[in-house]
Amino acid sequence: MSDETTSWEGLSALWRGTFNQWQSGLAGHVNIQHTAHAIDDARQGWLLQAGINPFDARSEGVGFGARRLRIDFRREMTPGDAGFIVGRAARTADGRGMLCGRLLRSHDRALLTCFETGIDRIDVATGAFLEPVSMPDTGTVEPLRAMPEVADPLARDPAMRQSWLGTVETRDGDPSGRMTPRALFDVATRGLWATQIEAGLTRDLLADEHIGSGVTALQVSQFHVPALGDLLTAHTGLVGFGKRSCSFRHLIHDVGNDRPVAVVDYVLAFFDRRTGRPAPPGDTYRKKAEKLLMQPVA
Amino acid sequence: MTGMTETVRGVVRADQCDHFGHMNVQFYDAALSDGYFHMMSLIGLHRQAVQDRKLGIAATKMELNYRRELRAGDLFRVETGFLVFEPGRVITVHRMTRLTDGKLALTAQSIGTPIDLALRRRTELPDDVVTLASRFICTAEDLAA
Repeated sequence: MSDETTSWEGLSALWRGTFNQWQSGLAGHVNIQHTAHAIDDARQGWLLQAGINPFDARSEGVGFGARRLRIDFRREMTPGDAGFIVGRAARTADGRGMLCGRLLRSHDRALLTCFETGIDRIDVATGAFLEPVSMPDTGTVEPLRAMPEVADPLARDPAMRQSWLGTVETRDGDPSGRMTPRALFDVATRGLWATQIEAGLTRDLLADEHIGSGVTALQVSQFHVPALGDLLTAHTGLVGFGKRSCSFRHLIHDVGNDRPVAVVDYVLAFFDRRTGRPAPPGDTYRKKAEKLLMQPVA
Repeated sequence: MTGMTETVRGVVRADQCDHFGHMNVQFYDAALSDGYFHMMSLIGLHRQAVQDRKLGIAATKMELNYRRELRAGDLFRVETGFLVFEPGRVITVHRMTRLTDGKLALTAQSIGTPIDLALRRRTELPDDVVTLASRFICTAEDLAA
């Protein structure tokens, strides 16, 4: 058993499942939207264990979501991997009540993913966030490393490109007709590819340059939960480069109602496809990606 | 012997439901498939092992008994065990419970045949897999409980 997982042993599972071939993304591993979906199921599982039946709550017009979600991806997940999520309500060092969880691989307990999420009530009639679910403080958990903040998260930097435009389809909705977290990540995934390809970072170029990449960290700040049929747009820009990574930001906006939906920040880490080892993306990538570079934080 | 163990825990998605307003039968089967693969990972046939050993267990017969409907937003659990686990034949059983009220939603039984994934032919399961699987042997009474 890995030391990383020791303190999580003994907690009851909030989600358990197997990732399938159809959940694989263009990068060849399980796409983040399916991890986000498992975490959403884990939220519901935690609520049930805490004595709040989410099925019954919905009949009273209350759904559940999260204003904030932060995920660190520690190991690549491949179709066929089986895993489970455990979690505990905790007061993180910054004082917020969060569900802190770990996705572990079933056969060897390897740590796949760490996450922190609030659990907030949603008015299913309007999609507005209501008061957060009160969480008992069952201990302090070391918070995940903070991701870079941008001065005004809702400001659209001139370097940002429109990366997606479309409606919330039936398949994107929860039982109340509100957009699921998985669907939000689907938009972000498509937006990221669209932005890279439009900047000349095509899949062929990435293959020719042996550039592999994967999301290693992300943070979602959500302001509103769209409904089926809402027209959304995403704008995407590059926050900056690290040594072997770069950070992208998506602004997802409800066009029809002119209100912000979410800000999604990604850290994309690069590796050499020939060796599988971390590697800088190289000058070709950097030159093309620089066109998307947003203004630095003051 | 520990008998059946939890292999799936999740929530019924809205897009898994049909115009009858409940989870369509294809997704019950999908949940059992996930549970089956989860169980494989617990008996030494996780993804990497399947790839390395070129060994799988193919379903040749399956019977599902639907007891209660699952609707969008219902939480559910699948438990999985083996009635028989022999080198040449496996009988797997599943029990699905609707967690939102604790009621039994489905039981299922399938017969599996070990398959050599390189030759695409019937084969036999090795001793180490049979030994690991013995932890999950259960009885028909366990399934109905």
